[in-house]
Amino acid sequence: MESILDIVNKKADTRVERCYQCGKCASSCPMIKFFDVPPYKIIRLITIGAKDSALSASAIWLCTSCYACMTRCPNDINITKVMDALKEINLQEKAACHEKDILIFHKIFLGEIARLGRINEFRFVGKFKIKALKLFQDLALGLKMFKKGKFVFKAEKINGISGLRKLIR
Amino acid sequence: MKKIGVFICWCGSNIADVVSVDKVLAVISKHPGVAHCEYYKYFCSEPGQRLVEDAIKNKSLDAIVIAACSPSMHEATFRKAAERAGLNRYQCEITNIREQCSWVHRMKKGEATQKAIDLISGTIEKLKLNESLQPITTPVTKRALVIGGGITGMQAALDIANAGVEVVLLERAPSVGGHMSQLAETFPTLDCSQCILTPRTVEIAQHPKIKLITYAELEELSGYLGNYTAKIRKKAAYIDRVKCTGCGLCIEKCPKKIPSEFDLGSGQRKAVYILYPQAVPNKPVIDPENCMYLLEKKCGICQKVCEVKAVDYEQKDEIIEEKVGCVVVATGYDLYPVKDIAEYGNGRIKDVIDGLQFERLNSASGPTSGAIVRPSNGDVPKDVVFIQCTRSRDPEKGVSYCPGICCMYTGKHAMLYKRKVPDGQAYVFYMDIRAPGKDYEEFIQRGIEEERTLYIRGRVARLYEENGKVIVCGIDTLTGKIIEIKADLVVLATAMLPRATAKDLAKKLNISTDEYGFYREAHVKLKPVQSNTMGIFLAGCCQGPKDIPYSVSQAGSAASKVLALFGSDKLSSEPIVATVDESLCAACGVCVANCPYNAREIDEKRKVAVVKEMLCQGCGACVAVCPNKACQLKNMTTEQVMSIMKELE
Amino acid sequence: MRASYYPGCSLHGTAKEYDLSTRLVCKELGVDLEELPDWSCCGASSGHSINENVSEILSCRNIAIADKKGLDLITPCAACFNRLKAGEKILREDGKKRQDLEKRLDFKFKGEFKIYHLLDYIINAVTIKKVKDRVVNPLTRLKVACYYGCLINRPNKVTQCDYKESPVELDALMEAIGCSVSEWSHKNECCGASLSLIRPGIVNNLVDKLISTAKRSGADVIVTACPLCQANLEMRQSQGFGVLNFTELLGVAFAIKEIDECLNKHLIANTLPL
Repeated sequence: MESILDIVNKKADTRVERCYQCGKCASSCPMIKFFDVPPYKIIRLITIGAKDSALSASAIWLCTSCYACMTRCPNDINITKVMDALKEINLQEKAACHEKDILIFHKIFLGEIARLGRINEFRFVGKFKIKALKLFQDLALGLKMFKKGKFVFKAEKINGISGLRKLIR
Repeated sequence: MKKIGVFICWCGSNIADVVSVDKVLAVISKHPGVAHCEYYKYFCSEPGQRLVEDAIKNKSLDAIVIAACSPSMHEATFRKAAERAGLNRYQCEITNIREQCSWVHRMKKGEATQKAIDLISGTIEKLKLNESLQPITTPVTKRALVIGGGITGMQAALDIANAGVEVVLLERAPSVGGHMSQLAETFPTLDCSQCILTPRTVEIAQHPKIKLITYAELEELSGYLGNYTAKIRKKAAYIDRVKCTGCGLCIEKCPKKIPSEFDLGSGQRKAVYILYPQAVPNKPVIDPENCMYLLEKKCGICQKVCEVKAVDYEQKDEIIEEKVGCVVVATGYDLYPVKDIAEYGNGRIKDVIDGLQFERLNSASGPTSGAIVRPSNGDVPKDVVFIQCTRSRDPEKGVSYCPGICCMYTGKHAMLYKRKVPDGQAYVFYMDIRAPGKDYEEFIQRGIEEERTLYIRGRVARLYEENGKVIVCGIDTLTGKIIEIKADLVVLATAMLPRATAKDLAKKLNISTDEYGFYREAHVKLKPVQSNTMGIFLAGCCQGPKDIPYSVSQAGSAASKVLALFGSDKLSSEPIVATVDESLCAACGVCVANCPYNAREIDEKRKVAVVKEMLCQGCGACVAVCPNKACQLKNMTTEQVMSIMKELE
Repeated sequence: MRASYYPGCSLHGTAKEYDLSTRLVCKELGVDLEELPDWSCCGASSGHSINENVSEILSCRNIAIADKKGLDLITPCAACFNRLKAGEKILREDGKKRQDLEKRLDFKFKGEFKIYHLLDYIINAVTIKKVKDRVVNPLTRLKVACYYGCLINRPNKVTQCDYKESPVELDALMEAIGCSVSEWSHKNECCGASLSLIRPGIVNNLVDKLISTAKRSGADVIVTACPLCQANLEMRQSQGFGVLNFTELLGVAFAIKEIDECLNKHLIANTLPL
């Protein structure tokens, strides 16, 4: 049985065991005050094999992939890709996810690509709000945008959609 | 025909368990030329050696083969035994039937036995053609050259000179002292650095056995162990430093002010200057890149006011030669430049400084007379942040290693700051605390308990200027809390690096550098002060980052190696060197170009190649390349090599 | 100059003004943009977040189309740029994966073209000198805070930019059109990206900090080089501070008439001394 350390190292093409917990990633992270577990702790959890704790952290979903952490890391650990790897493993193993709306967002996004090949924001946002039960969020903002003609209602569909669907399904 | 004795060692069970010593004995005894053949369990033991000596005497043997372990183990032992029995030591050869036979062919006993027989037979045939040789001796010049006049170089020079040996101490700056003279106080005793250094510098200047040459650099080193010639370039100081009385009037009157390198840009010096008030020698030099007279023929005040007419604008660099027997390199270190650290301001933020700059601030003879103030506006800083591990322990952007001194000097800095600014607060961002020396750990704890230094465990992601403060963005990983400090002053503990000029000097001395640029020692554990080149010793930070006690210890260690070298009047080296058959030599020069040890040269008068035997290491490259086969190695001639090959067929 | 153009999904949607200003400015600079035929979404953050394979396919499908055209590929969106560069890195450095992707996407990667973010293209391919020459209306009364965001420069090994804490390219471009630029400390601190729709509160928090810092540095306006950054900075703040696409300021400096169409699409009223 491959350890979570080996799996993550392979998926993220990195060596997380190099981490000496300096914390530069956390103090570089714009989202740090919203994270339940700081990035270096997630790395540590993986290194010591605490798989469930790492997979169930909210931080992995809240990460905005800004790459500030790995730009500063003195040990060249690909922290951003580690966060992605954990999200993917979480889905594959159907582990606990405490940020369900974020997961819904990504699933619908990819679903729309599979349907049309391009994202029509109006359509996508609508679907997302319904699925994630955020119907009344940003109503005022939405109205402002509508008035300025920012919404495009006609969705674009690419010609090669059937080919694309075959590839990503 | 030579009468040869062969001694087959069992080496306990190491050889005998694999190689059938009975069979070897039976076959070798019948080998033509073998007058005596015996085996024994441990020939290297005292009784064993006596057996060898007895056989030589009783059987009147002319030469012997010891079939045993590697020559690197006991060749010297058996050669001495042969000598005691009256033979020339080079009539004793070793066949390695352990490391190169029994140990590597454990599963193939039959073949191993045959191989042992073949190897010994080959050695016998080669031995038949061996000449009796004498070691090559050269006289030793009992003088040492120490390059570098910092604490390490000075200590080495003193240790050598106090044993009665002459030392030439070479220093590139106008005066000795090195980085230690820039420090304010040293850990863990908090001695004033200048106060403990000055007795050394004065002793150096006054020592009858030390020739101090400052403001000079090594131009070229030629020769070999025991017989080096050092060409030294004395830089033009534009002042006759012998006539000069050190009165300082020229400095006082000089109108040109420049940022002082000694103060790392924070203070100023004049175009004619001495490094620091207690400098040895206390004689100034003129900086040709900033002197208005030397550049534009303007001013000239210093010459006018000098009462002993010591100022000489026409002075030129001078090349002198010193004959020495060996060299000690003690050239010190540089620090990682702050201007290369992007996330800490790229050197553009005035209030972000490095450790040496802080030392100058804190120093009583420094630009602020020891007052710790903000470089930007001269205010007293109330919140000072110290950042350890800056570009050290940083494989991605800096160096991977830990210099081992930053934890200590940062702790010291924080302590000294608090003593001068009692209502200030010192913060230290650290990853680990490395305090292994005597009183070191206690020193750090004192800072925490007595001076209330706040240690925050985490690295600083970045810092930037805002509203006249430096905003430091860090973290305390022990609690997980993000720490943001509005600092007045930030001191970076930057990585210790080799000198920028280290590689150039390495080329001149023919020594090697490691992957970081520090000089490579012969063995990192057991030979830390020897380089791979005989006669060149290393000491101090040029060999690797270290603190002052360790540097001083290495200086003494290097000195002892020098004194051991000078223990006898002659140096001897192995005579297994190259020879030139002058009747075949066409003086084509190919051997000269191919010799890695500069041991060949062409005698232009006689038009033949010549071997400098003391430098020759017997590598055989010249033998291989000579187109006329005029080159041979003593006791390893082509004929001898072929005789071995025949036995191995 | 001819180039393939990859607008990305938002430039065909809510970031129309960025698309329009890009086209106008490129035309003015003599860059002939040819929209990549049948391009598909790059996958943005959702692709690499939950399905690495899909994100690779999405990036490389577009690279395959661009490869066939053979022209340099320009995109104004930082996220699309980053995704395309990520795909390119795999094709150029992972031989095994390249073979697999070539098989699945039915193409043979030649790679004789460069992938540019619009900012880099204008500065290095078109050159700042050419930009300066086109300036009719230097914006000397304007002080801008240049916001680079995350994905133009990071991660260095993907974007092939040198590691720099304080990038200066956009600043140089703005100075070329007459603006003065402010030195501020949050040039490339994250805006919250796609969390904007899911956790607006968080993004509000991040954006307000950015806006305050820009304000304190004495700037009149923030310029961006990414449609999501622009949207977040404009819509998730409570301080009424203007945020414009950099191409729009270029358009004003070049005195392009139609640029007003773009400026009018912004939610925060434009009161700048243009």
